[in-house]
Amino acid sequence: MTDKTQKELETKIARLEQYLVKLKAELEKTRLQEQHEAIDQIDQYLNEDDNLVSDLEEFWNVLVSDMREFFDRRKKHSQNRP
Amino acid sequence: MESGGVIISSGAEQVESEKRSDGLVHILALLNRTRDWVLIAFLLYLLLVAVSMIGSGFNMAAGENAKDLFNFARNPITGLVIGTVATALIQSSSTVTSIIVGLVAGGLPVVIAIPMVMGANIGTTITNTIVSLGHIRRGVEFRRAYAAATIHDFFNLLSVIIFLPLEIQFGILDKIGAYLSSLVYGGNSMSMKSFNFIKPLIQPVLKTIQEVASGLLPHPLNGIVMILLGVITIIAVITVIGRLLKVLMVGRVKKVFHWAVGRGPISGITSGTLLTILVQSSSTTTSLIVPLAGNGVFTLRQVYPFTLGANIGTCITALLAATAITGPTAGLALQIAFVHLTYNVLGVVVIYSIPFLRNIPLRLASTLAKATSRNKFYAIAYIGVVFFLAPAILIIGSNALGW
Repeated sequence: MTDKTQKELETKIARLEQYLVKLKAELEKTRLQEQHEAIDQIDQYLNEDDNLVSDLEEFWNVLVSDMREFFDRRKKHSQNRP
Repeated sequence: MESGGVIISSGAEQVESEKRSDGLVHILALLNRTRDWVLIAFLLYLLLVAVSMIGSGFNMAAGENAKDLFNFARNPITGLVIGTVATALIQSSSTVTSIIVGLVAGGLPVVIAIPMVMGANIGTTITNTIVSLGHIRRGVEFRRAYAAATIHDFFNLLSVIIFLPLEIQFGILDKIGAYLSSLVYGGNSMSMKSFNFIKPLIQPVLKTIQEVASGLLPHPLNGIVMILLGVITIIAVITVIGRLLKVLMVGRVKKVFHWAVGRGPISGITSGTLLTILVQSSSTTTSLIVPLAGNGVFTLRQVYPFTLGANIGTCITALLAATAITGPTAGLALQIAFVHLTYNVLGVVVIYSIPFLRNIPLRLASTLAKATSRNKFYAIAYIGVVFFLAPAILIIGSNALGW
């Protein structure tokens, strides 16, 4: 590798690294902005601990349907056995 | 020209009337806020009276023998489980620790009360775990929400695993609590005892209740009724205060949150502490961050210090409750409140400052959340094991070992 090519590559790497730092800073800025926007909507989450019964109901419904699926699969599996 | 003048005049009247109605709305809002703050002040007063009622109730019902009533909880594992189950059922660690302060004032030995306070920390974590279950239908969102909820559980479990054996062996928290309490209730003339302005506020009402109870009911029923009334009042008062503060403090909650964003873990812990003091409920604070973590705006590492702050912030209620106790057990009541604070601060300092320990709750919460998002039965198994099966096995095992 010639000195010129090596220098060119080093310059390219330095430029890419600079660009990477810039992109990371931009990403961080976007993330922070998103977090501040979410905080502005925090009113809707303040009563989360008052809806425990509906949270449990939601979970229970999913659990029951998963159980049904599981037992249906087992039933089919045992029926298909010779 | 005349009709133009009428239009201008009616337009000006409309602006004036809007201004007036805006002013009226502003005054009404101000009146509502003032009414709510007055109500909160009254409820805080009721809380202090209720805590005193528990202590007095035990004195009336059992007198000098009150200590013997708590012998059943002499086993620290039993105390731990009582604190866990009571908090899981009542859904408020502030309520349970305030009741414990009242019990200590009534004769519950501090040594027995310490595991109960530790248990209250574990019991309170069930609330945000249930909140995260509400996200069950949204795969990735549920995984993130469940991890954000259970990280609090794993931290509190780890804290008990570290500090309960140390407490049984060396009584570290007991000694620190006693020292801090002696600073306030020490025998020196410079102690805070002489500045207790709560006593003259509480005593007349407490004496009236005692007289009414003694007049209407025979001994020891009068004391038992006072204890029950005290417990019910604490539960009701803390629930109502929590609801009122959520509405009144929403603006400040946002400000604290905005301030903490992007500042690192110390600010996270500080903001978690401040928010919990503002809304007087660690369950509210830790449940609040579950949807924020669920929608991916905050990472698990970012919400972790915040939940730790909630542990510290919740101690303020027990400290406040301890100020209501007067007489010979006042120092002990304050001691258990300081034990609660010391335990939570030490937990954060020790676990969060040692990287190996700090990462344990993170890893466990992530692993459990991944497993649960694949198989929902893990959620049931987890709650069953941590809150019911493990406590039962621990009680049976420790009794069998003769603890």
